[in-house]
Amino acid sequence: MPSTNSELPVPSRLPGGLKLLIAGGFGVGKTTMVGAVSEIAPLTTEATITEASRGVDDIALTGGKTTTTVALDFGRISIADEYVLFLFGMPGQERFWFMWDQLCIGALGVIVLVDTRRIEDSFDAVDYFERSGIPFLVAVNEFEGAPFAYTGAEVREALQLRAEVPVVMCDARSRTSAVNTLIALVRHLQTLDYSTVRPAAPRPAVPEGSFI
Amino acid sequence: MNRGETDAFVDSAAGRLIRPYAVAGGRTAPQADFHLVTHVVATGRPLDGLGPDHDDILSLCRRPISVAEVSALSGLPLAVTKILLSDLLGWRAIDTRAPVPVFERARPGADLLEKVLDALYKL
Repeated sequence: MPSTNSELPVPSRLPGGLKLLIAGGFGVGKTTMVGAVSEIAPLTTEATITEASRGVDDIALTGGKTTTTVALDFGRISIADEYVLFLFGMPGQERFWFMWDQLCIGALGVIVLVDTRRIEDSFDAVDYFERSGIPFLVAVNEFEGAPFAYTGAEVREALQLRAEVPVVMCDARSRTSAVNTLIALVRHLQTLDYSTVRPAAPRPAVPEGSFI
Repeated sequence: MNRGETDAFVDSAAGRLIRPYAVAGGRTAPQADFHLVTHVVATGRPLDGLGPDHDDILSLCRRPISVAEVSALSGLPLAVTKILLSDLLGWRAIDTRAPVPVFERARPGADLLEKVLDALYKL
């Protein structure tokens, strides 16, 4: 499909869209972080995804496809007059993971938010991004009553992170702290040796007809 | 702008009373390639006889705006939003700018990252 702007001159007054993603388990504070840094109140768009059904029973009932509606929360930061950086909270529940591939396309990088009270919720997300080839950092979200019960080194060990993946401590509710986390990610993009980034691993199930 | 309270097809409690694919005229895929962070803006080309959904979306495009924001502010699902925007593009009622290309396993431009960093430091 041709790009929409290939036929028309690009008006200089239109900014270039950029995308950062915030991932992590359900309830870890993704939307809170979006709201802390966004110049607008976080918005929600409703994405509908059609994917091939896996079960034989499903095929009998639905003709081989299932449709899922996912709410995507996002915010924006203007980069001078030239670009707009959008931050999307990635739906955390495992059943939405088939849309992560689509969301990752064209994204600068990912912040994986971790709650140390439920660090096991982060294993799969970290594993996903380790294999996807997209740059990411791990941000340990400080919750009330659980002020950094673990050090960055302990979190790194628990998640078995590769050495180049940064670990930062943050408070997703704090604008300053959330901005510092974004800065840490962009600095990581500046220094990361992209030649060591693995190519994306082939995935067993290719979603079809995604509308993201 | 928000038709949520006034439109006969939208009930404040129940939501839309017509199915999204009806808004999109039964189509399920846009004719053009829109992404979440594709930007659009109205060209100002006068159009007559627009339906209410096209009209709403075109109103949102008076200033430069992303596809994701058009969807969120119109209350229409992303897929429907893209189809309606695709119509508007076909009628030369909007201009678009594709997202800044970011490629796998390749560092984005140094100049771009510097500008992003500058903006973040100013927040």
